[in-house]
Amino acid sequence: MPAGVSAWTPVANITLGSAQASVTFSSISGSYRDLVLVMTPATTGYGGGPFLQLNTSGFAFSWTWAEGDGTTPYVNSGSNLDFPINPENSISSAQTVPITVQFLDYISTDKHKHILYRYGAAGQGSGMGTARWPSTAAITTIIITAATGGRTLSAGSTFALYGVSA
Amino acid sequence: MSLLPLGLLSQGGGAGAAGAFEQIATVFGTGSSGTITFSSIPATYKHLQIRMTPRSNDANATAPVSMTFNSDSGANYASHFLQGYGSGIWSSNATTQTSMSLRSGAANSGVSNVHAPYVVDVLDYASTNKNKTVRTMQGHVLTGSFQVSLISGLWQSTAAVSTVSITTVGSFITASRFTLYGIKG
Repeated sequence: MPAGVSAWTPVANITLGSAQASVTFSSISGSYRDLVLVMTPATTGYGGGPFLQLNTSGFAFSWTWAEGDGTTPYVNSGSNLDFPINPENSISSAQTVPITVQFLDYISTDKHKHILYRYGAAGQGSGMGTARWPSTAAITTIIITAATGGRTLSAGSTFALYGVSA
Repeated sequence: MSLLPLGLLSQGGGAGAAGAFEQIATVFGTGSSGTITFSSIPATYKHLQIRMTPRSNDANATAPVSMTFNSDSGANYASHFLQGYGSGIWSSNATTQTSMSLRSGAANSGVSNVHAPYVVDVLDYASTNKNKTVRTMQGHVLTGSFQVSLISGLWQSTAAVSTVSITTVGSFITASRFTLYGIKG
C-alpha cells in the first residue's frame, strides 16, 4: 500500500433495533491485515459477557484478563470455546459497555490468532485481556453472543468492524 | 491498547481514499537478525502506531522485546508496566535504561505458531519540545502461561523521532510482521 492511502476502512456496522441473542460478522474479507472490532453492547441481567467465537470451528480459546474495579485488582484465565470478552456486565440494559478488540494478522495461515482487548463498565470496572485461538485458519466469521441463561444483547447495542491494511 | 482514531473514521471513506491513518512501511523478520528498523520516518504525521506480531528463534519460550529511537543507546529510556499473568497482577518500572522495554514476545520453545500481538502508539513523535511518550498493549497466552500488559514508555529527548528500532533476543523469524502507521493531526 503506498503512503498517503487510507489504511483504516469500515467493514461493517450493526446497531441492534431489538434485543438479540447474538451478532455475527460473516464472510469477512481477506483484504486487510488486521481487524478492529469496536462495540458498545448492553446485556440484560447480570452474568458477564458478551462472549466471542471465531469461525465456529471448535477450537478453544485460552484467555486471560486483568482489571480494576476502583478498589481491588482482579485477574482470571481459562480455556473455552467462547470466552467472556468482558467479564463485567451492564448495570442495566440501557447502559452500554465499550469494548475494543484487536485481531492482528487475522488473515495469516501460519499463526495462531492472538487478540488484544480492552473494556470498561461504568460502576463495575475496567480492564484488558488477551486470548489465543489455536488455529492457523484465517478469521472469516466473528460471533458475539450474550451470556447464557436467556440473556440478550439489548436494543441500541452497536458493533463496528474495521479493516486495517498493511 | 491502540490509539483508535475513532474521530477520524468519518473522514476515512472507503479503501483507497486519502485518510488520517496511513501505512508508512511494513517489514518482516529475516530469521537472522534480532533487530528491525524503520528509518527516515517522515515528520508529516501527528502520531505513529506500530502494529506487530513478533516471534523470536531464541531457545526460550519467550524473549524480551525492546525499542530505541534515533539509534540512541544512552540510558535515556524508562518504562512502567501493569501486567496480568493469569493468576495475579504485577506492576513495576525500569528507569535509566538503554532501551525501552516492551516486555516479552513469543519464542522458539513456546507453543508453535504463536506470535505475540503488540499495538504501540508513539505520541507527538515529531515534536521538538517534548520528551517522547509511548503507550503499548501486548500479550500472549502459551500453555499454562499468560501475559497481558499495558506499558508506558519514555524517551528523554526532545528530538523528533526519525528512526525506530525494535530488538529481541535471538532473531525475529520470517513470519514476524511489523507495520508502521502515521496518524494525521
